[in-house]
Amino acid sequence: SLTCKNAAKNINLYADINGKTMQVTKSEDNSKYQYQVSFSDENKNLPSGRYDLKFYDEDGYTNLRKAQRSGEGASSVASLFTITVSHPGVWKGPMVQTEFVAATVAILVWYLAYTARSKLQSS
Amino acid sequence: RVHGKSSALFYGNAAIVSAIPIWIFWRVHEMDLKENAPLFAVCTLLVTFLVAFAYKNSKFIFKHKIAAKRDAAINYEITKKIGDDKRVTKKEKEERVLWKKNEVADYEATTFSIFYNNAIFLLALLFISFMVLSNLSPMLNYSISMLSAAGLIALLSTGTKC
Repeated sequence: SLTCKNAAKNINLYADINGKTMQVTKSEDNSKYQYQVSFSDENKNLPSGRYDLKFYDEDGYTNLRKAQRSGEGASSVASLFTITVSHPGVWKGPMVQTEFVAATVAILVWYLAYTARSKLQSS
Repeated sequence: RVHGKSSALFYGNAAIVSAIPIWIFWRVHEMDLKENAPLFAVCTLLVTFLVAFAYKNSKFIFKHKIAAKRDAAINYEITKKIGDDKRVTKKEKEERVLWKKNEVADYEATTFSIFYNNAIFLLALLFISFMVLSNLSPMLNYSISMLSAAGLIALLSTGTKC
């Protein structure tokens, strides 16, 4: 949770997430989580890693928009604060198919049995 | 001719080996347990008999071969055990060797027969069930693959070479 130095409350926040800017929603009835922001995309567009979410107040947001329009780049505007989210990535399935493992083990066991039998027969 | 203890071992092992694939078919092919219980029961029983049959035949064939192989080793062991005991006659020594050979060959043939037949059964079952019959309905898949695999080892065990 955050507290402002000048004890400002109920300010409008804006977030810059992965290049997309959006306003952070404010809810009055949810006293625990007053501000909420979310982002979603296809799995391949969100690789695993750390995502920096920069938050701006009204003035910061205006400066940001100005900088974007003039092509200066968003990094020149100082953000109010930054939250880092680490996304561990999604599971894409097992590396080796289970039936392959089962088949390999079965063949190995059979091979051992077969060689043992051959040794027995060869006497 | 199979002795009591051996027989129990064979049937017990055969029952376990025939019962385990039920778990595979339940989980992988998604066959409901309660629905298919009669089919599972009948098939398991048939397969148990076939597998035990295969065990017995294989053991019989393996025992002779093993006995022949172990002859020298057992002879040496018994001779060493007797040592310089003058009371043991040659005949008694040979009797002991024969008895020990029979015991060892019996045990080794039993366990090897179980191991060998299980290996083939498992491989055949996996192959038939997942490669050959994968598109069939689960109930047909279960019955055909189990009976075929068990039939295969039963057949192979009756061959003279085994």
